[in-house]
Amino acid sequence: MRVLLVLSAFLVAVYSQETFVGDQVLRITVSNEEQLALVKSLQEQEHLNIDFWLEPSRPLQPIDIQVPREHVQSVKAFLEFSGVGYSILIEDLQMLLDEEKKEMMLSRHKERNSQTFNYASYHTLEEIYAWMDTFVASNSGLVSKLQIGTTFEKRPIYVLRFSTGGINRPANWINFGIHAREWISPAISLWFANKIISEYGKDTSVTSLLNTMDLYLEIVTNPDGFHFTHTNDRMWRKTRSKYDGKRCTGVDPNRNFDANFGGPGASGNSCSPTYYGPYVNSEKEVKAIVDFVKNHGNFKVFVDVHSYSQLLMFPYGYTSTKPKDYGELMELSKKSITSLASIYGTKYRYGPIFTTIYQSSGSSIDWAYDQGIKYAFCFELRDTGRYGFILPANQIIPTAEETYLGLMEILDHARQNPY
Amino acid sequence: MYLLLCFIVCFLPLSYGMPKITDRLDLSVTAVEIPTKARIAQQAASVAVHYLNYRYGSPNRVYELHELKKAYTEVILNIVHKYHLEFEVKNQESSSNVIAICTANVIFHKKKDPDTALKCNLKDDMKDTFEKDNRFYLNLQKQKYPMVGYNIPDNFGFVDPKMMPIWLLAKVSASYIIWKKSTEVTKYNMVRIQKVNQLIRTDTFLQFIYTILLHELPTQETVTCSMWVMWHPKQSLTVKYFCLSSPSESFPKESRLERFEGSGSERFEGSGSERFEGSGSERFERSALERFERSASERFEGSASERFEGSASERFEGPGSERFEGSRSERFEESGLERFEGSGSERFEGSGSERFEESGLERFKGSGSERFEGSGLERFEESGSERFEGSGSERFEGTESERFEGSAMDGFLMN
Repeated sequence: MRVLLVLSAFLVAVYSQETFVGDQVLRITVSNEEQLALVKSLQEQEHLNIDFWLEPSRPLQPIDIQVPREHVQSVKAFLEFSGVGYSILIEDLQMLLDEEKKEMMLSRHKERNSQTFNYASYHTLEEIYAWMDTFVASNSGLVSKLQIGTTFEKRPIYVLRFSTGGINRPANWINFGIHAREWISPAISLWFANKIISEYGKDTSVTSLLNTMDLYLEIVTNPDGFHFTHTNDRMWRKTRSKYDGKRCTGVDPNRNFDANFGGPGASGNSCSPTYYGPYVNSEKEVKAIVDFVKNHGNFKVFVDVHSYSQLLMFPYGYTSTKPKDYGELMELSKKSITSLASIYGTKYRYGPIFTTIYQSSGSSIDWAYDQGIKYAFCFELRDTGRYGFILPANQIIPTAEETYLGLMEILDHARQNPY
Repeated sequence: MYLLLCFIVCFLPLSYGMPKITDRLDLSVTAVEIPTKARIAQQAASVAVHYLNYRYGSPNRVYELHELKKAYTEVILNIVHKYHLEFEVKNQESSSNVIAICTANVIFHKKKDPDTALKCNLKDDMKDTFEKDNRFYLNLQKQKYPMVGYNIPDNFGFVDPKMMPIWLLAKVSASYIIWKKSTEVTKYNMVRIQKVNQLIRTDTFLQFIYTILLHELPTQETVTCSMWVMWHPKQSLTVKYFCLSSPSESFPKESRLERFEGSGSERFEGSGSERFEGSGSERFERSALERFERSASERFEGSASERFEGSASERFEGPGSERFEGSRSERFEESGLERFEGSGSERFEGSGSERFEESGLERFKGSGSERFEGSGLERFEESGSERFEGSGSERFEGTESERFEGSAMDGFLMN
């Protein structure tokens, strides 16, 4: 009897070993030069047909490899035998590639639990909104969803509020995806929200943060534009508002704030991607933020997350004059990007908007700073132009992980330096 | 060989009675060091790297800036801004960590394309990458039908591994366009290939016609360019191009459709690549369209080969001697320059570049996309990119088997 059981167990094991389908993508982390050389040698094994998504560069940097299905077992055996750690990034690449679009539609129905939500892929607006409800339901003790306004095309604008209580505690504001084509921004916000929840009660920084301050995340700041990038034009940037007498659609929300509105670095031509709009706060998406932040009255941090260029910036964009907190903001920026670079070595530059990227008027963080919110920052996430706005999905998690560290430095500093 | 021509070219300016620029990579005593983190230094370095990719790049040699070590600037004869740079580059397509050291002089003229002189110690990389290039080249030569592709990468950043070399070739070819179009203020990146198809040649070169999208900073515009590329693993690239700003931001969608239907086919029949003549800088767009509207096909006949022959020597002259002649001072704004001069070296600590950018941007503001409003270019611009909207990744996945026979223009007509 026992023999039968053992035999059947063995057969099951053998059978299940052979039932993988499709190529797999493995993430390898080597701990020393020797292991690095071993992994590199895999490249020379041409018959294995291994495709390196992330090239081996130095120890502790992840190496992503796509292995054809017929070699997956032997490659894994090789890695295990050599004591090289790896994880499965993509179980079945074939399925993922063929079905990526279908999957996006299906996942809307599948995702009941925000823990099984696929944070490593891009989602539509509907999926993100569905995720929000699931996320709040699973974490109702800490998170709630607020509607702060409605878009031009009548979509609701939501903010997730993380709070452990208190009344009108000093708060942190982070908004994502104000420019529609910058998909990586809302993509990492989902992971970030989940990370905060996971770390509360475990990580001292996160726990102290939420015990003393509130956190507000505006996951999709420009829902109309974001939807448009999925259905029509992947490169759309602005809102989708249309005004009489104006030839073209859309206003650049990050030129529509009351910070030297209409000044240099923004365009008065409605057809321009940096059109500042018919008047200050004309955009409902912008007005929603302005009203909310002003009414709250106790925000200490205001972060606007964009892509791409790998920059961390603070005011001003509309003038070359240094903000009065220049010294502190420079130092904090440096700390932040150093933390950010600690996982994957991603290099960021930092400084005031004006000198770091270009002059721009009417930007969100300039407005926030002039409102008295000292810690006003603008992130430009990966990359530096290789993929630009169309960052491959396999970079979502790494970008999220490093940006989390960068953001936590800022939030931590704000908590320790109340004003 | 290149070095020899370089030397010859260096001495030509003397015969024009121009400023003595004896060694193009020298560092003048009047040059001022600027912080490498300064935006303008980074911009100059990126222009140099684009030039490097154009001259020495290939599907397996795509260089990125690893680190800018030193940057100097000087103003020559009140006309040009010259940057002397020392930097390190890495081949992002190589598995090795080999870092090459480069020295470059990048010269920005007010209303002309930048000049670049460059020297890098790339030798270690060349042999290995040449073999990989050769493999790609031979593989493509073996194919029965000309290759075609759409939307690379797709909306999700995915590039089919088989299309990778095509994408990378586009990147280094686009570097030529970007190098030519860059200014101290305007920065470009290639966003994606909207369409690519191969034209079979009778000689040993591979030829592709790309429609690519560039992203322009600080205007945030997307610029559509048609790029005609000829390549062989042993030769440097030949690139011809023609760019327009994207109408998706410029014109309402409805009128775009009408005009396309009315005028699309006649204009494009038999027209092939003559659209690509000219340097692609905005100055030429108006005249290019006029020529285009008339007998499109005539221009093509007999001109393709001339252009090719011409380009062989062009390539070596590169930023040739004629660039140093002529004082375009009449167009130079005195105010920008005053602020630049006479204020010592501390001006660059976070503030020197500001003043520069300020003047740069003002100049820029006046000459942005507004320029094209109401011009005859509308019709062409609209039809240009309308065609590619909605051509999603599904189409791309099928392209391996669905090959285009006949001229490249068929592809443009079909939708």
